[in-house]
Amino acid sequence: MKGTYLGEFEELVLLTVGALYDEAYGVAVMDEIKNESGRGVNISAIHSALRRLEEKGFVKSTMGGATNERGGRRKRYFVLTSYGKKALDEAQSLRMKLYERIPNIALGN
Amino acid sequence: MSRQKEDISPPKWADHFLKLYCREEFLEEISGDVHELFEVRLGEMPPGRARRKFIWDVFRFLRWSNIKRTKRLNSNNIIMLRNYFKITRRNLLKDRGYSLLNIAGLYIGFVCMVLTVLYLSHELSFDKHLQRAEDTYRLLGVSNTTGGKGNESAAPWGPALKDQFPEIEDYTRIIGHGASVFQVDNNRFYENGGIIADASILKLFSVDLLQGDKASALLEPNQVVIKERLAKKYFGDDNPIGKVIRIDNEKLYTVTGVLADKQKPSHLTFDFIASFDSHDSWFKTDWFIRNYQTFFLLNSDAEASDVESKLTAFFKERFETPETPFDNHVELQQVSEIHLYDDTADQTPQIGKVRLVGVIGGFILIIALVNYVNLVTARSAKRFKEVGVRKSIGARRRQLQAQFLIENIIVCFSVFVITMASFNLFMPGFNSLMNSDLSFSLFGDVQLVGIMFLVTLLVSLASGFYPAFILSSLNPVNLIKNNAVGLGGKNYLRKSLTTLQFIISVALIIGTSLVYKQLQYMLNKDVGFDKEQVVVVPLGSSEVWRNKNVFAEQIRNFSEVKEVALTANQIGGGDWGMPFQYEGGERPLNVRFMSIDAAYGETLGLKLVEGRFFKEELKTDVESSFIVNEAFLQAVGWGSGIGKRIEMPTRDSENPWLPGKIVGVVKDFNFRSLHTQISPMVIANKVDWTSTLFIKLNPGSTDKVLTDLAEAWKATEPNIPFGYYFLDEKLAEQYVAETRLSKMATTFGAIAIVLACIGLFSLATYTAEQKMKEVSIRKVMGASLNQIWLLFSRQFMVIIIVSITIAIPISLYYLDGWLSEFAYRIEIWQNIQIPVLASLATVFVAMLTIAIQSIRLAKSNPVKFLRSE
Repeated sequence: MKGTYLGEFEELVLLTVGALYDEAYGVAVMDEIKNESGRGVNISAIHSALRRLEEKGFVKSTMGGATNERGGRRKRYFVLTSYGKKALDEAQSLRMKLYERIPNIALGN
Repeated sequence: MSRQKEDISPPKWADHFLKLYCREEFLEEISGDVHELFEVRLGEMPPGRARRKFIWDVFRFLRWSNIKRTKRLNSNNIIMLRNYFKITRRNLLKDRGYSLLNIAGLYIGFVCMVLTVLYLSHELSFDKHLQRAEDTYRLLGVSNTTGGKGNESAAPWGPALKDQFPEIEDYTRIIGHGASVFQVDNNRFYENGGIIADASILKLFSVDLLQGDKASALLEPNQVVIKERLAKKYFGDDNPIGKVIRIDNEKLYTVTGVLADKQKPSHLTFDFIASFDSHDSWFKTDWFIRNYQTFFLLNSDAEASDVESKLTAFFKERFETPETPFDNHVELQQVSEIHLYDDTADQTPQIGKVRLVGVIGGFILIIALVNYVNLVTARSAKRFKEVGVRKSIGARRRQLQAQFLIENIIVCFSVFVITMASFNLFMPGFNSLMNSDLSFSLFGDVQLVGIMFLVTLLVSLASGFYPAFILSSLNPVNLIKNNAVGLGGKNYLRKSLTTLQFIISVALIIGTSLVYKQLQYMLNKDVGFDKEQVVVVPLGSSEVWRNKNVFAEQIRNFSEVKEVALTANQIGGGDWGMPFQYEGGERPLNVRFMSIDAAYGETLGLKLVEGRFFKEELKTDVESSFIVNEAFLQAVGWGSGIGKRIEMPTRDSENPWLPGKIVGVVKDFNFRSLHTQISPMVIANKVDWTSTLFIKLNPGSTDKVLTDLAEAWKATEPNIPFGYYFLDEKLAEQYVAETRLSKMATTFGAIAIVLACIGLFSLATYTAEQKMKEVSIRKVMGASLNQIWLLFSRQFMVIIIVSITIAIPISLYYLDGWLSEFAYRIEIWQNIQIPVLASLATVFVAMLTIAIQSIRLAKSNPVKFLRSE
């Protein structure tokens, strides 16, 4: 398994996969990121990130059933693993810990 | 309806492309996503834009992790490609000697080619860097009657013409500074190669300063711009700007700029530039004395021919008088043409030499390429069996073609890479041969590398052509039985290529030896005066010059000094031009002019046809006696000259002509190089004008006399170092171009012959292999070694004799053209032994090469070749 370090973009994708729950596939993740953060990302970058996350064990994937749109091609759905959830929790708590240590005096200057 | 449907589908090729590269396990999701995006976008934007976005997405998916791995390709191709590499290596190693010869030959050819191209591009780059090269011209005066071109002009012309004609944007005037003594503190050295020029020279010639302000550097009097080398020499690491140099023991010059040592190639070279206003000379305001070169910068929209005719009209109006009709017209010579095409002042344009280098370099490349192609072709005939087997187990023609082409591409490009990598090893030798300062960098000379690349590709295709297209077309059964019909028999192509090589080699040998002969002829020809053991001392503006007669008398007493003469003109181009009136002549004759003292004739060993030299005790000689040469008598049509009246121009408008009598006629001597004919000359006894000492030493003089001379000099002039040169060495410098050409031709000629012999050797090897069976049978029947050698050499003799018969007339024809540039030349029919000897030498070397092969053949055991059948 590759290192478990979570990059900024990877974290964003991982969060989106978690939020979309069982509707997370390439285009959906891309649209969600675009809607939530206003960040336009190319679909190929989403695919790469998802594949890296899967290699790291943060998500797992299954092929969906045949579809009517997109010429009948199947979608690959991603779901958060418990390990991925834990990684998000850790990132979140680290952030909170650091955030709470910001003294008020540092603001407004 | 159908049209609309077509419009809303994504581009098919992009879809195919995706399928081509994408790993199968990812293909479905990826193509699904891009298609879905496309469909969504159709609702948001025009179809064209959606399609473009689709293509963009497909390309964005082209990532390493998405690309198919090789095991997924149809791997047959890859395996065959690997096999080609393997076979190439095996073939090269099988006959190491052959491969080495072959590759070495190609390598030599490539190196010669890079050198040639480098040299040519250097020669063609002169003055091309000028910012407005196409608008920068030099002013020439061309004689309507003789067509002779002069590049000199008088100082006032430049400013006057600029005022008069709006087409002339700017001008610069240039005059040499001569040998000058630089003095800083107590350091004194001679510095040659200085010029005096208008400040605009920096702009016109795009000269950049390392230090100093380009706009103001040469505007004031007594300013000088020097090269970095000089700055280091006199000021060390100090900032030279604002420092003062005493030049020629007179004026103080302020350094206002520093030039880079290495300037871009230009016909105009200088070590320092003094500002124009710092020089004052009696002819600086004279409209008639032409001692300067004037360069013009024309307006971009001015037509040069237009300006030429306007200037001609201007000068005609200014100079024409009833007695002397104006016989010249003005030409404007583009500065970038000067280096290669300059034919002013009796110069031979350089372009001939440059073309010759190009031709010889090209020849060597041709020989090398022909060698390579020949050898590969010959060798591939040994691979009948391989081709036959490949065909019978199902190789298609395309595959065989690819194999042979790839093989040759591999070999040629390896040589290409080796050439590029090792090239700089040859630069120092080449630079000293050509007296050039070239360098080569792989990334700096992209064009050159590009050309090389193309040539390499061409060679690999040409050499691969025969095996790839002819061998592959044959019937496999014949190939395996090794009796391929129509091959290995006549080989006209190969034979004619070898003939071509020998034509070139023989021509090069003949050319080399004739160039050498001509050079020797010029160096040893009787020039009509004795140039050995003559020390020349330019006096400049030294203290010695003021006391020249005393000084001459003083050193005349040295035991090793035979004679001392004073002259105003250095021999070998230092003569002046002047018009002379003569008895019975309608208009003045333009002649060359020298001024000498009484001892000159004795010192240089000149011979008289009639009359006498000047006499020191005769006052009248200085005022009104002249000596002329034979060419003068011929030009004016006199049988004898003694007592005839001629008139010399003066600068006095009251008495414009100074009459005098001819007292002697001197036998013609070559006061200029042997490139030019001896022109009519008048010699006067104006001792006041003399500025150079000619010191004739006794035979067997040692170097000690030079120290004595230097001491005597120092006693009179402590501030200027003693400068001298030997006349014969100086004169030999006039032939430096020929010396270089001869060296270069010899080197290149030797290379060409070696290459041609490599070619012959391999061809002989090939033929020997073909004839093994025939020779073996003959041997069994009792043929002797001699008979076999004869049988074997016969076909090569034909090639060589044909080459010689073609090469001799062609090379002699061209050499005759080359020799016609010389006023004094060897005649080809007098040197007919040279082509004969060259041919014999070629035959000899070729026979030797073939003999090695035929002896090997004749000594081999016939059983070896006959048992298998």
